[in-house]
Amino acid sequence: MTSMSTFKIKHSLEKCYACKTCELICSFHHTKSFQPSVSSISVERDHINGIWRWTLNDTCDNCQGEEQPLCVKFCFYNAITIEEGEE
Amino acid sequence: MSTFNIRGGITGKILRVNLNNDTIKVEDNVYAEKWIGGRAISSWILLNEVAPGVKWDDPENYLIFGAGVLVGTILPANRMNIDTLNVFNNGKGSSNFGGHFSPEVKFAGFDQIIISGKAKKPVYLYIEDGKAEIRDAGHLWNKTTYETEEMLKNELKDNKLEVASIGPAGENLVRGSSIIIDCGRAAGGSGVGCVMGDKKIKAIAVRGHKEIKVAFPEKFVERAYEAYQKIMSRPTAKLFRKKTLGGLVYNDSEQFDELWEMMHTVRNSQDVHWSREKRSRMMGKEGVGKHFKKIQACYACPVGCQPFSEINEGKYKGAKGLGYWINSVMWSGKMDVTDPEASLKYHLHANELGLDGDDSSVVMSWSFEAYEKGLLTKGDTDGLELNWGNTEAMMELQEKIAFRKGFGDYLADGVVEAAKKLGKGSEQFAIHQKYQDTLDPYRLAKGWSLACATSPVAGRHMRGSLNLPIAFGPKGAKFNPFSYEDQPPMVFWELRSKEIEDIIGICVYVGTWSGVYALEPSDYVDLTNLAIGTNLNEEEFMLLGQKSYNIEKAFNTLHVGFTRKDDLPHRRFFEDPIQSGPHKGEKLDLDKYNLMLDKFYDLHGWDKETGWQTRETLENLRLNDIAEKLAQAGRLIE
Repeated sequence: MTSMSTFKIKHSLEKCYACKTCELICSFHHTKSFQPSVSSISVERDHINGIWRWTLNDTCDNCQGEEQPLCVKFCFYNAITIEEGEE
Repeated sequence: MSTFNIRGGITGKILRVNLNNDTIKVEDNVYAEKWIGGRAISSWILLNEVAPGVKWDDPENYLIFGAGVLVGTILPANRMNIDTLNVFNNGKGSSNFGGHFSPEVKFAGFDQIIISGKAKKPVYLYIEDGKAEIRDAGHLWNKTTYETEEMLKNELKDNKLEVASIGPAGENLVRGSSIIIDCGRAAGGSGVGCVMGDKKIKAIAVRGHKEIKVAFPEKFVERAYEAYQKIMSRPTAKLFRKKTLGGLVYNDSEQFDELWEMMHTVRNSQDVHWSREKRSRMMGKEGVGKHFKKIQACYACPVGCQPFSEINEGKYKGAKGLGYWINSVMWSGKMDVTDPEASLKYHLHANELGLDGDDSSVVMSWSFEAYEKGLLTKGDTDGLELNWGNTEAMMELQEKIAFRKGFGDYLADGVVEAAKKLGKGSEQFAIHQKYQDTLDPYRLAKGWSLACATSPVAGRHMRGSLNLPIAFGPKGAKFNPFSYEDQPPMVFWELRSKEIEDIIGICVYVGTWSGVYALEPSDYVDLTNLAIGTNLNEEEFMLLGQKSYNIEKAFNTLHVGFTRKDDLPHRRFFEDPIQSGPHKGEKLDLDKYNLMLDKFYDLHGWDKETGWQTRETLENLRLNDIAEKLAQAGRLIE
């Protein structure tokens, strides 16, 4: 198992489909409910130009207590990965 | 009386907005205990609060936005229903859409938004965290849906704002107007955008920071993950995300030949066959797919079926936006137009204008046929030559209809009204179902045909329509799409499954209707029980779907008096044979169709002679109050 303190969440805008699943499941880690406003992840979509912005703020704790970061587990587009040793 | 003792999923609140006197009320969602969520709640409210005799453009008409009970949880549950009176027949109107708007409404604290009355001047509704305001929308009027979303995001300084808006078509009360979400998801059926325009609501802008709780959080998330895995295990799931709909609309290969014969309605439904050459021009390597850039998925969806396209050269350079579906190809087929850039531009522009492509392409192709028959001339059509395949005429008419300009105004009330004005036998090829323009094919795939013809929302294809043998359905049922005999049990099963999907808000493309064909009622009941804390079984859930469908049926009987004859497809499909292709000469057989309808009514427990509900059936469904309403109106079979 990956050491929770020695990796970094990486996001690929190219692979991302802007579905916000990561934003939603991240909030579940924090609250055990669904509340994107307290998520560590924020996804903004521009529907007219087909572009989006993905950000991760400093409330991310690498999903301590979970087997793996929930945003990674629930990204079915493989856009979120973990990068070792960059804490 | 508590029925379910719901402990999660819902917000528990309903927003009521009365535009006659600018009042806003927040009330408890007492309806969830009886109907759980989504369309079932909205249908029930409409049935009980909008009296028979009210017309779609009366202030007493409601426009209800209702989110599914699982919307806002970790599932591809992002759907919302819009329920109102259908502008084409004053019966039940309903339209369903995905995207990102519905979850935001839940996070803003509401399960349902009920709008009544009419504003005196254009307004928009701003909703945030349990509160709402009616705001002036003078500056947004006359703007496209794209412009409206952009202006609202800019002026409210919030890039995460979710917007549902109408375009010029809805403002001009074009009957077939849609409400556009995410600048690309269209709630198009029943003229819901026309009702919104009539109430002078330009947009609803929503922002939510609240939480959705579920009854058993850890177990629910675990089960939801299994559901995601099930979806991703389907071979079609990954095909979808390469290009929309498994590449179907960007694919001219032989493997889809028969499917396209079943789907198409060419030249105002004169034919179903579009030659390989024409299809290749539209869907081959140099077709619409050439302009595909990427996918933007709906909320929490692992499939991703919505393409973003942009045209970088030629006459339509600069056209860009979301969406392009099987329907979009069918719209062009209606006019026999095989210009892929024009077809893509037509789709994107329909979204900007808030014009429903299904309705407008039907009435437009009716005018092309009237022109072909010499019933309309250039003198009637503002000089447009409405010849099959005339791209320019199609593009110009779209704009004219949306703004009710010249000949466009003649077409803007739908095909039934246009044919009434023209007369001269043009009613014979005005393709409608229960007075609403219908795009759908009725001759070949009999399950598709039966479901569209009997749909409570009049000739639309989302209520049990089938054209492929699906992995689900009643045990032991056979399914040959062309057989009359096989359809009733399958359609009866699928329409109940779809009803459940619309109660919980699961997307049809991960469910039993189409697309990935992954989740099914056994999944729905598990997930719902864990989310809302119930202990329902699959049979009870299917029964809930059946009851919900019966509310709409009763609504139409009470408000319009539809009978069995309104459940038969348009005469063209019985009388005019398919003109070309492998199914040349085929048409519907009235006797066989009637037998199919008999079996379908039997499954529902409805009266075969009138098509109406019976007291026995409604009381078995514990819908005694609906039976009483129908009995008082003299429209119940005792």
